[in-house]
Amino acid sequence: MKKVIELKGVYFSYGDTLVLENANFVVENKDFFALIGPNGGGKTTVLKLILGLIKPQRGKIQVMGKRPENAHKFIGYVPQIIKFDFDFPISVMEVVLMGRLVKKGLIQRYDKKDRDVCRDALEKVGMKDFEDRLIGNLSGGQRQRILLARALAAEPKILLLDEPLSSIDSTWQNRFYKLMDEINNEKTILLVTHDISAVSTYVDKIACVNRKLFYQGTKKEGMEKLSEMYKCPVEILTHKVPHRHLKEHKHD
Amino acid sequence: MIDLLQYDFMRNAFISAVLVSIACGIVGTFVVVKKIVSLSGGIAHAAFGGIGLGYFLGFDPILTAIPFSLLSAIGIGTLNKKIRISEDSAIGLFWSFGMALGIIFIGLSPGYAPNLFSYLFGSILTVPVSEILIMVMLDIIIIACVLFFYKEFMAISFDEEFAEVAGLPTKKLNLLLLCLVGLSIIVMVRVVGIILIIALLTVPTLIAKKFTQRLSKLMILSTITASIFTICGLIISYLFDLASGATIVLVLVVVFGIVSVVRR
Repeated sequence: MKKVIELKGVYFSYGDTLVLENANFVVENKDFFALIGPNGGGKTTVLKLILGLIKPQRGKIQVMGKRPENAHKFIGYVPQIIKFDFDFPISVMEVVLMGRLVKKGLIQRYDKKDRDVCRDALEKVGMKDFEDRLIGNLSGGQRQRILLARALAAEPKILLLDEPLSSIDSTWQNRFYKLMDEINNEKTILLVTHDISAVSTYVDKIACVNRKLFYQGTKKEGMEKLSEMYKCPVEILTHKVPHRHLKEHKHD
Repeated sequence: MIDLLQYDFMRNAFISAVLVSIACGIVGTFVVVKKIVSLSGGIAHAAFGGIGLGYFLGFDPILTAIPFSLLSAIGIGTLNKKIRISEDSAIGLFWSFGMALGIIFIGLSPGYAPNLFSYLFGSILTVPVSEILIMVMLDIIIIACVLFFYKEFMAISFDEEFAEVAGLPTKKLNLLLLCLVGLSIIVMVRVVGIILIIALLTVPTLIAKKFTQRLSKLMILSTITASIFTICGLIISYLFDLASGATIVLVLVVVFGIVSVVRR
């Protein structure tokens, strides 16, 4: 199957506010795909539509050829970290085990196999020795790694990440993209971010969304379209990498 | 002190203290970690309508309060999504609606409602054996549901969105949890009364949370904490001739205060 995620003529509005207007895009098998755009531009809405958390007013969404609400088993989801209550009494292992929910029936308990899969996932994100720690006692970056491990524990075909590097330290950032590269050998990755520095080096395709879908394709042309869309203040989005720096990356 | 147990009413009171603690320890843990304290308060007060209905129809008020409290749990849980009002407003609506119904029913009932105060403020010393049996059954239902749905309840409490993405029926699970809150309220109503129930649902767990940070241990420790201090409150209220429900709540709150200072 070539098309992994497909949006066709999708409209979505919250009340009277139109958030997405005639959005069309396709994510193909084993793409490393970034969805970018300004805050409030509809990135998270697209993600929620793909996850089946909300339904479009018009248009069609397919995930692995199915409707999103029937495609749970294909998806590993890494949500934004800001919405969590980290005072919650839960251990790292218990969080990662949630990734196994999709494989389990109601009432069915987690077993040794689930725990083994979770330990592997924790090892991949470099958090092997943390399984008995409380999520509340970890740093922001470590928590994001735990949420990534949870998504991997679902053994998904598609990894969906919403701002996965918002509080990651720079040493992990490089390892993160190395890991994504490795994961990308077997899985499709869709990354939602406003951090263009990340996109410039690592992903291979991008789509820009700001109410309408502005562009979809390879990232080289995309970067130029992007500055058009933002009317060129791309620097505002990322203080680390100024606009000119981005263009130097054209060769990849 | 041992003499106390020679009285039947005292023995019943001790037994109900333990039964109440099981309900509030287990359900209270979810109420606290899922932050549904005021929602639970709403269900508790709405249950008063059921108690009034019991008086009006001449049944044991506890029996009519059970369906009432379950319906208000489901009502509060669905109404805010159906007619687009905030959860906060749905709570206010059910809270006052249930109380108002209760007052009307009791007003319509012939004669004087002698035990009314025991449902509002609690009266652990007058719990009859028949109600102890009801409490045992409700406790068993609560324990069974939490044993069965432990991983699901934990998931919807920590990260409901992820649980939904993983394909869990989160709406139904939420309603089930609210129904358990409703049942636990029935277990507690005789002991501390509708007005003070919310203290039993929260304070034992808040105390236990100072000592453990695991959900399963929190439920057990909350139950133990609740047992110890409801019995302490019961003894103090007996010795000094104070209102039992209020004494139990005061003991719990004072202990929470001390624990908070000692274990900063």
